[in-house]
Amino acid sequence: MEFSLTLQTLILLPMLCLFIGAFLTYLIGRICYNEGVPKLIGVVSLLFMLLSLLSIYWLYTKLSPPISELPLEYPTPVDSTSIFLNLKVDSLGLLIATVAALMGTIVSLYSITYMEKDRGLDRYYSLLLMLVGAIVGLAFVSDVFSLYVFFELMCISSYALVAFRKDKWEPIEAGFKYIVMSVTGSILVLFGISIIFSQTGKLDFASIQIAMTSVSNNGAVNVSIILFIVGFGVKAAIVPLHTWLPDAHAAAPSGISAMLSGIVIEAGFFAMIRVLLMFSTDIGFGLILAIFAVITMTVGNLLALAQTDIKRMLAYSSVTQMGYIVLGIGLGFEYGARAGFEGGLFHIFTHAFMKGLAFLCAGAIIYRISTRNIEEMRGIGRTMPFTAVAFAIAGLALAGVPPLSGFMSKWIIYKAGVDAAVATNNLTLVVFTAFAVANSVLSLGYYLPAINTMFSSDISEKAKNAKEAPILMLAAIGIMAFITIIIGIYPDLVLKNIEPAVDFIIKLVGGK
Amino acid sequence: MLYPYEPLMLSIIMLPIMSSVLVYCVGVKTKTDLKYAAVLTMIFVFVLAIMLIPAVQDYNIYKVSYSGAEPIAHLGKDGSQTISMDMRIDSLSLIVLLLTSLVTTLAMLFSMQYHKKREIENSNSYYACMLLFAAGMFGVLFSTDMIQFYLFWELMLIPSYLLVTYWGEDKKHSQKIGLKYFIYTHIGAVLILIGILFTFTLTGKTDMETAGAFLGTKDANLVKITASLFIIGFGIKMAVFPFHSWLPDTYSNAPLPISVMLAGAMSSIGVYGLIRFLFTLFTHDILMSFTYILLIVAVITQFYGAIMALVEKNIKRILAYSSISQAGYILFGIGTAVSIGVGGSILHAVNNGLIKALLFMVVGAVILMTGIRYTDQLGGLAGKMPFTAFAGVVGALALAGIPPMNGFVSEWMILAGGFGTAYTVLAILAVIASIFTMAYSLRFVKEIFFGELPKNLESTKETSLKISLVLAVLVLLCVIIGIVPTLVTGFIRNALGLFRGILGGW
Repeated sequence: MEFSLTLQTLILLPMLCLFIGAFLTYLIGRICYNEGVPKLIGVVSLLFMLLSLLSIYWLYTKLSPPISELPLEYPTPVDSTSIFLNLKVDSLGLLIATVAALMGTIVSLYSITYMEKDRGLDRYYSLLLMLVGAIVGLAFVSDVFSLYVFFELMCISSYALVAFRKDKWEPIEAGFKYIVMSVTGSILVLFGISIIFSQTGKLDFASIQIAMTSVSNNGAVNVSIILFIVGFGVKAAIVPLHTWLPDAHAAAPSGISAMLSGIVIEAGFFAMIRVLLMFSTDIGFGLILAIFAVITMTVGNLLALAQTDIKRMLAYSSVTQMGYIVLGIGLGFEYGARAGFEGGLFHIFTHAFMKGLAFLCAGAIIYRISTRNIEEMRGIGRTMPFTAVAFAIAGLALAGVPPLSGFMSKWIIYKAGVDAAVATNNLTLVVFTAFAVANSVLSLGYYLPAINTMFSSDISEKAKNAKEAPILMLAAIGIMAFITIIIGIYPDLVLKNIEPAVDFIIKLVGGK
Repeated sequence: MLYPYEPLMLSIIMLPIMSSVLVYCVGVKTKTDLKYAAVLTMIFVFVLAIMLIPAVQDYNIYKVSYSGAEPIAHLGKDGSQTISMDMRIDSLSLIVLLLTSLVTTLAMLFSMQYHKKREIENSNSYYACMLLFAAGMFGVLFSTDMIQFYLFWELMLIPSYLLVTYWGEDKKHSQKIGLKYFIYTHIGAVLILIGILFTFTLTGKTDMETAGAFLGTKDANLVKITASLFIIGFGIKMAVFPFHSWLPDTYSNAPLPISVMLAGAMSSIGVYGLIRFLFTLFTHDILMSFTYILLIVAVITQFYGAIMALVEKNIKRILAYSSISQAGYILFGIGTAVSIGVGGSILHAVNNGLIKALLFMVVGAVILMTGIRYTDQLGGLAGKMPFTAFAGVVGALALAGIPPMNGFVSEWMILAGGFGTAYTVLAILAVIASIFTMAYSLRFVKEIFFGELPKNLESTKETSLKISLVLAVLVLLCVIIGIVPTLVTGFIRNALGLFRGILGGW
C-alpha cells in the first residue's frame, strides 16, 4: 500500500519522540552536572512524553472515524531476505500505546519531585523514556520478531529501573530475581517463535494466521502455544509465575512501581494476546487462561490480606487485577464472549490508572515519612488529607465499588462469565463470574483496613510530623484521581474506543 | 419546559449529595458545627418530595428521559446494548420516597437532641454520612435502569457502614459488627448484580421495563435462576431467615438516630427493590413457582423474630428482632403473588417504617433519660415520662396489629392474600405468628413503662419538648393511616396496576 511520507512518519513519531528523548535526556544529564539537573532533566523527559502523547493522539484522529486498522507499513529491508520492520496501527495497539504514554507523562511529572534526592537521574529518565518507547513500539508491530525485540527492550529497561536504588540490598535482590525469571520467560518465548517459524516459514502475524489454518493441531504448534503462555505469563504475573512481582514492585521507586503495575505487566499480557490471536481458538487455550486467571485472582487476594507493607500489598493486588484481565480475555477466546474482550481491555485501561494512583499516593506518603509499614501510617489522613483521600479513591476503585472506574470494567468481566454460560447453555460457567465477584468482595478485606488506618483518629508519631505531598506530586495524583472518577461516571468515553479493538479481535476469533 | 418536575427530582438526589460534601469540607476547614445546614437540607428535600405528589397523580408514571443525550455506556455489537440514566417516579416509588424522606428528616431532628447529651466526635462527618445515605436511597427510588439502581444501592452501603462502625456504641466490637454488616450487605448487592447480569445477557437490555417485556420469552430455568438471585440478594437486605444475622448486632450497636434510619427507611428500600424487580421483570407463572418456598421462609422468619423478641432483655435488640419478624410478614405478602397480598406488603413496609421509627425514638428517649437499656432494670416509667409512654403504647399497639392502628390494616391485607393462595396451613401459621407479635410488643411496653419503678430511676424526667414533638408526628401518622388507610392505599392500587407480574383483584 502506498501512503504519503507524512503518514508513515506519523506512525514513527511517538517512538521517535521517546527514543530521541531518552538519548537527549541522558546527554543533558551528563553534560550539565550541577545543582539544577534533577529538575531540568525531569522537565525535559516530561516534555518528550507529552510530545509522544500528542502524536499518539494525532494518530488516533487519523484513525477515526473508527477504522479498525490502518496498516501503514514502514518497510526497512534489513538484508535481502524478507525480514521487514512492519508497523501497523490498529485500535488494540493504540489502546496500549495511549495508556503507556499517558502513564509515562504522569509518572515523569511525579518523579520530578519524588526522585530529586536520588543520584544517577540521567539514567532514570532516559530509561523511563526507553521503557515507554518500547511499549509503544510493542503496540505497533505486526510481526513476531519485532514484537520480541521491543518486548526485550521493555524488559531490559524495567530491570534497570527496578534495581535503580542500588545502594540498598532490597532493590538489587528484587531486580536479580526479576531478571532471572523474566529472561527465562523471554527465552521460552524465543523458542516458541522459532517453532512457529519452522512450521510456517513466516514471521508476520497475518501470514502466520493464514498458515495456521492449514497446520492446525500439530503437536509442535501446541508446544509453542504452551511456551508462549508460560513465557509471557511470567511477565504478566500469572500464578505460579508471579513470584518476582511482589519484591520488584515493592523495591522499585514508587513512580516505577506505578509504571510496572500499570502498564508493563499489561503490555506483557498484550504481547501474549497478539501472539495467541494467530492461532485457532479451537485448541482451547482460552480455557487454560480462564482457569489460571481464577487461580491468580484468588492467590493474589489471599496473599495480599497478610501484608503489612503497603507496596507489597499493592503488588499482590496487581497480581489479582491481572487475573481479572486474563479472565476476561480467556472467556472471550474460549466462548466467543464479546463482553470478555470488552471487559478485559477496559480493565487494562482502568487498572493502569487505579493502581498507578494507589502507588503514587503510597509513594507520596513514603516520601514524607520514610516507612512502608501501614501501621506507621495510622492517622495520616489528618496531615496529608489529599493524598489519603486519593488513596481511598484508588482503593475503592480497585475493589470495584461504583461509581468508580474499577466497577465499570469489572462488571463487564462478570457479564462475560454469564454470557458464556448462557451462550453455551452450560450453567457451570457462571462459576467464573462467581469467583470474580467473590474476589472483589475479598479484596475489600485489605483495602478497607488500610484506608481505615489512614483515617483513624489515633495518629502515629511519624504521621504527626508529615506534611502534605509536594505540589508536583499532588498534581500527578490529582490527574490520575480525576481520570479514575470520570471514567467511572462516564465509561463510554473509553468504551467507544475499545469497541473497534474488540471488533477486530472478534473478526479474528470468530465469536459473537 | 419539557419536564416541569425534572428539577424537583434532580434536586432530591443532588441536594443531599452536595450538602453532604459541603458539610464535610466546610466543617473540616472552618471547624464550625453545620448540623443545622444538614437538617434544613433534609427538611427541604421532604417538602420537594411532597411537591412530587401531583406529578404522580396527574401522570401515573412520571418519567424524565434523557434519551436525547447519549447513554453513558455502549456495549455489544454496534453498541446496541446501552446503559442510560433516566429518572422515573410512580406511585410505588412515591410512597417509599415520602416515607424515607420523612424518616430521615425526623431522625436528623431527633439526633440533634439526642447527641446534645450523648456527644459524638466529628459531628459534621456524621451528618454528611447521613445525607449521603439518604441520597443513595433516593437515587435507588428514581432509577429506571438496573445498573443505575445498582449504583445507588452501593452508594447507600459505605455511608451506612461508616455510621454503624465509627459512631457505634459498643466500642470494643464495633469494627467487627460493622464489618459483618458490610460483608452481608455487599454480598447481597453482588448477588443482585449477578441477577442483573443474567437479565442483561438474556435480554440485551438494562432498562427494567423493556427487559421485563423480553424476559417472558426466555428459557424458564434461566429465568428462575435470575429470580432466585434477586430474591436472595434482596432477602439479605431485608434480613429474612437465614440471612438475618447481621441485623440484631447492627441495629443495637448503631447510634440511636441511625437505628431509626436503618429500621425506618433502609428496610423499606429493601422491600421496594424486591417488589420492583420481581414484579416488573417476571411473569405471574414464574412467580407462582416461588410462592411455596417464599411463604415457608416468611413464616419461619416471623416466628424466629417474634420468639427472640419475646425473650430479649436489651430494648434495642427487641426492636431489632421485631424488624426481622416484620420482614417475614412482608415477605409473606410478596410471596402470595396476588394483589391484596402484595398491596398489604407495601402498606406494611410503610407502616413498619413509621412504627419502628417511633419505637426506636421512644427507646432513645428512655435511654437518654435513664441511661439504661435492659428491661430487667427498667419499669414503671409511665408515671415519670407520660408522653413517651403514650407514644410507646401507640407504637406497640400498632406493631401488634390492633385496630384502629395502621398495623392492623396491612396485616389484615397480607393475611387475606395468604388465605387466597392454596397454602391455607401456612396462612394459619402466619395468624399464630401475629399472636406472638402481640405478645412481645405488649411485653415490650409493660417491661419499660409499667410495673414497679426501680429506686434509682425516681428522678427521671420527661424528655425534652423537641423530642416529644417528633414522637407526636409519628404517633399522629400511625393513627391517621390506621383510621383512613385510603390515603395510602390509593397510591398502592395505582402501583399494583403497573406490574405485569400480579394477578387477582382487590
